[in-house]
Amino acid sequence: MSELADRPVRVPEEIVFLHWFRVIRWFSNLRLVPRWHEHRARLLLRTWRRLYFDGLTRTGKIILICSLLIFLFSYRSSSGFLIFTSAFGIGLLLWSALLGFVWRPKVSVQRDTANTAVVGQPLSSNIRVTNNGRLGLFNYSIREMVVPYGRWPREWFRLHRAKLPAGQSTSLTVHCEPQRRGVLKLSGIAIQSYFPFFLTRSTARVEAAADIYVLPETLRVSIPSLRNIADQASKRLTMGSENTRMGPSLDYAYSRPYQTGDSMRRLDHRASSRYGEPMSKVFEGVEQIRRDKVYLIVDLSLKEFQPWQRRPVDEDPLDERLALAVEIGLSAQNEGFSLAALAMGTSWHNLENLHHFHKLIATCKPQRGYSEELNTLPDSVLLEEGIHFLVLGRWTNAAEALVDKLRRSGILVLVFLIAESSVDAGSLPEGNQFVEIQTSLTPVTKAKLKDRLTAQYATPANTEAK
Amino acid sequence: MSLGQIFLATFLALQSLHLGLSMELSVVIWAGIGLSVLGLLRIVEVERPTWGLSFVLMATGGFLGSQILEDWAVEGSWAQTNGLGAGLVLSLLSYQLWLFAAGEKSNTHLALNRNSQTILVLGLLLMLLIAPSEQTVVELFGVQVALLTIAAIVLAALTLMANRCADQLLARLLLLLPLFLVAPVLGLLLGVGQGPVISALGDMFPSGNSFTPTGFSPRQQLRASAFLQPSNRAVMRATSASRPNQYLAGNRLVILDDELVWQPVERPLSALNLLDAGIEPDGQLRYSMNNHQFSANEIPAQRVDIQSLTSTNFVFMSPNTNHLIGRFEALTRNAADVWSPVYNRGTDRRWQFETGSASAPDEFQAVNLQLPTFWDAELQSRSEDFSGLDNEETAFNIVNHFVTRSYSLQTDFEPERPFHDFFINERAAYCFWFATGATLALRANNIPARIVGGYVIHEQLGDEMWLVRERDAHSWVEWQDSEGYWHTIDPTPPSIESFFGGYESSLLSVFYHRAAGQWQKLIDAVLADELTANLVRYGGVLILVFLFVREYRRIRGRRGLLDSRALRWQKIWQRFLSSAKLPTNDSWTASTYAENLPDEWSGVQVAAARDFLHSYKLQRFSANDQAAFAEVEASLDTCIKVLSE
Repeated sequence: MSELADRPVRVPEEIVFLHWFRVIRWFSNLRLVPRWHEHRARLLLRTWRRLYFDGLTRTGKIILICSLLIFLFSYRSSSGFLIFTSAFGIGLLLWSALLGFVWRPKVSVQRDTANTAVVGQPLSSNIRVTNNGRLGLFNYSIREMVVPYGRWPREWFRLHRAKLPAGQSTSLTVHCEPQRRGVLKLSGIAIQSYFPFFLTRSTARVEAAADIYVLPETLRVSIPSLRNIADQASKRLTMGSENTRMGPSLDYAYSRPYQTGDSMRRLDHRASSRYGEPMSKVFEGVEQIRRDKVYLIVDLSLKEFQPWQRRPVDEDPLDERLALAVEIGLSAQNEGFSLAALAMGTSWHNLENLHHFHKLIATCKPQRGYSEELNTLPDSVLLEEGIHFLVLGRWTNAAEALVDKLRRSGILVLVFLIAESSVDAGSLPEGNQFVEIQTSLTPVTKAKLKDRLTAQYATPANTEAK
Repeated sequence: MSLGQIFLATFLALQSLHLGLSMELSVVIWAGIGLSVLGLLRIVEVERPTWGLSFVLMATGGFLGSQILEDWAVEGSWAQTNGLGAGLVLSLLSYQLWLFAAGEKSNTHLALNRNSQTILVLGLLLMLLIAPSEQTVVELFGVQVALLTIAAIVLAALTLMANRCADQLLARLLLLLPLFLVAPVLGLLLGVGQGPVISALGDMFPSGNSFTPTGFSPRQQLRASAFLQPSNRAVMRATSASRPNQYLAGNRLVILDDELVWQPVERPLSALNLLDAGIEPDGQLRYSMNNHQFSANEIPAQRVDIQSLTSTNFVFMSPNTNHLIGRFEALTRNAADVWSPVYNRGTDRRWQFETGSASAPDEFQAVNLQLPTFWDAELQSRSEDFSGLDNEETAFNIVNHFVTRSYSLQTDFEPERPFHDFFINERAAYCFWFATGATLALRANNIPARIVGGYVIHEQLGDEMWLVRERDAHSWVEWQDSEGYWHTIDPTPPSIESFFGGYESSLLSVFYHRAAGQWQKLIDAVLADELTANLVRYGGVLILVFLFVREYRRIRGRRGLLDSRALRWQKIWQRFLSSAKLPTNDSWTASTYAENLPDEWSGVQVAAARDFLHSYKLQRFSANDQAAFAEVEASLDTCIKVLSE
């Protein structure tokens, strides 16, 4: 079923009837019942949600429901004790709400949140809460006010503080979990007090905005040593050093997860037992590690993203590619390279720092209208000393031409491919500089990993009045 | 043992007391209190219930409740009348006790405790919605208070706040005091507002449509304006070796009063009890029925098994029934002349009737000739038009007249003289009007007649199975001949069939009732023998217990498995070292051992040991443990064999 956001875009080069055909097809497939998240912000639902999330605890809710049921169904029996039970239950909740209102949180907050996050990983914020009221704040906990397209920890995993006297401050940690690459706009903090009986909550919403750049979900793959690949590709590896009786004449640099093809002699048993998975030692030549620059080129096109589509049907392949770019960037940093520039689509961006790199990755959009003729890679080549990393979803003619152009200019280029579909797998040519990455995560294992986290995280609303 | 845990244990004990008193089962009280105390003391470490275990627990509760608790509970208690419900309630209580015993340590640094909340939610649901025993309701200062329920609500609040504001608990308790003053006033207000609120709520819902659903009603009224809507609700399932008589009579009505309501003949309420019944070989009771039905030919005896699918307690049987058989202690004929049985404890609403041609003439009663007060010369003259040479011909003429008229589910007669409108103007109507018209026309010709209400069997589910729905409700007529036998005639026009065309049973409904009928047959076959029934019953419990134990052992063993895996690798390594008589060196890896094997070993021995060490090194962190164990152990066995040679 299509949604409002899927309405076709008019492509000027095409005849108008084709556009109308797509419009009719879109309209005939349009969901008439909006999705749940599409009507979350409506007034009635918002009121209900406030009662659900902010008004009563589970025990409070059940007391209210049972009291109302007793009130309604005791009419025929006209038993005095049933009416009294109902009155006691409703009275307890009203009394609790009244006391909660008198001792409601009157606070100000200061937020300290990291400016980058990763999909599927908890994002922590340090919140400094100051009680500005005249009364003390009792039995309170805090959470993010709204986490658009994200999740927050379930109530029984939130921190509880017994008391915050008037005029005093304290620091608390708030978690949430972004679920989508892009800019996560956190609007504020909700402070909930369970005073006095833990049956009702009184909630104060305090504005404390923060924009977080959310990177795609981490790829659960290990990136081969970039320097090794670069060395192999440039034929500068110290040949035969591992075959000497006394071991390789190289210095230990670091350990990384075992990859097929690694020498058994390189297994790092101590690291393996520590991490619970086989680890290989990586050795470097004794000479000074070269401080090379790294240029990343990422293909933003998606095969299925047609020119008339307003958004791609499945953005996961691009997210995987971007996650690979992030991994390469981090590996490059760890191995002593410096990230110099990033090409997204056809344009180059000079990278000032790692945050700039993350910002570009988080905010980039897929390139619409893929075709064999369309060039989705930069035309210009930066004729500077350094290694170019090309991150692709498909091995195309344009990519081949770019690699040739770089090679002819005497620039070392390493190509990483994470196949967009099964057709594209295994399409890379043979060679040391061509690396195909295979994700170990099938959709099933991905779903299982997500399920494991749902025990702790709940999906809150996307938008809410402040 | 925290304060919150003590309050929670008290809450569970109170709940057990509440349920035990309400079900009149003292064992529930003592078991509940005992387990609450045991859970509090944490003597045994218990795993947390999983979804699978909870499901098995609920299934066991429901099964035991319906099969055992129903027979075992105190006579008249709700646990006896609703064994399944009681079993499920006890399962929920067990679930809470289990959750309490398996609960994690109190995490006062977290906002709320999940287990405590679940226990309180389930507990309050049971305590508030299951009516308390009268013993626990006391009058305090003129207000009736259900002590246990109120105590449970207070304890719920105490449980949640006890650990998180332990130093201020007394102050919080004091905050509760004003509530006890406010609650009676609020109770008064709620009592006053209850009626208006309920009527306002009733007004919010749309009023019912003007349709009258079809169905059997013991006393029926002729209504000038009506619009019947045939209902597809199933009423009875009939099983018989051959096709049964299509009529299933509920009652016979004789007097049409001024309100146009048909009434039965006034007679003292009669009842049959155990003394009037014979006993069948399978333990069912056999009651004799008076059969006054005329039969021209010899009809072979036929037994029809009926299972009621509704909650009404009426018996329907064929007009020529000689015996009624079933598991009922008594059989009463109620004021509307319908037979109502008193079923034995725990039995389904089922009966059998035996039909046959052996019948006896009935006595003549003047009431069967009684005409209503609105009967006038015009109606009499119209009725006399049907007169024939004898009673039989008159009856034939009357039926012949009515069956040629039009049938309609809707009537809209003159409100003042509806019967005249129907009878004289020959307006369309439904079966009850035709049956009334025929009865009164017969009486006007001096033939005793009465109206019969019941159902018609026409929907066949299988070879030996029929289904009766509410839309099959029908009225027809019986007239008495000069010998005293009653003849059945049906004056309703055959065009009735066309009206029911739009109300056919859905395929899904037919499939469901066919499957339900077959299932019932299977159950009957199993329960026919006491030994088989008990085998199935206790076998079912054993299967559930087995599933429960298996699942519990699985979740218990999962943790052990994680530990045992590392242990198994260690054992393999130790076995290698001890059989190879190599020194233990913690800092050496398999590779180091492989490179430093004793010089005195032969080439074959060194190769075998290196093979094993290579295999161990490769497989130690393999994802597929079972295959890795098998491969490494095989390699070790070969190695040990070579070394021992």
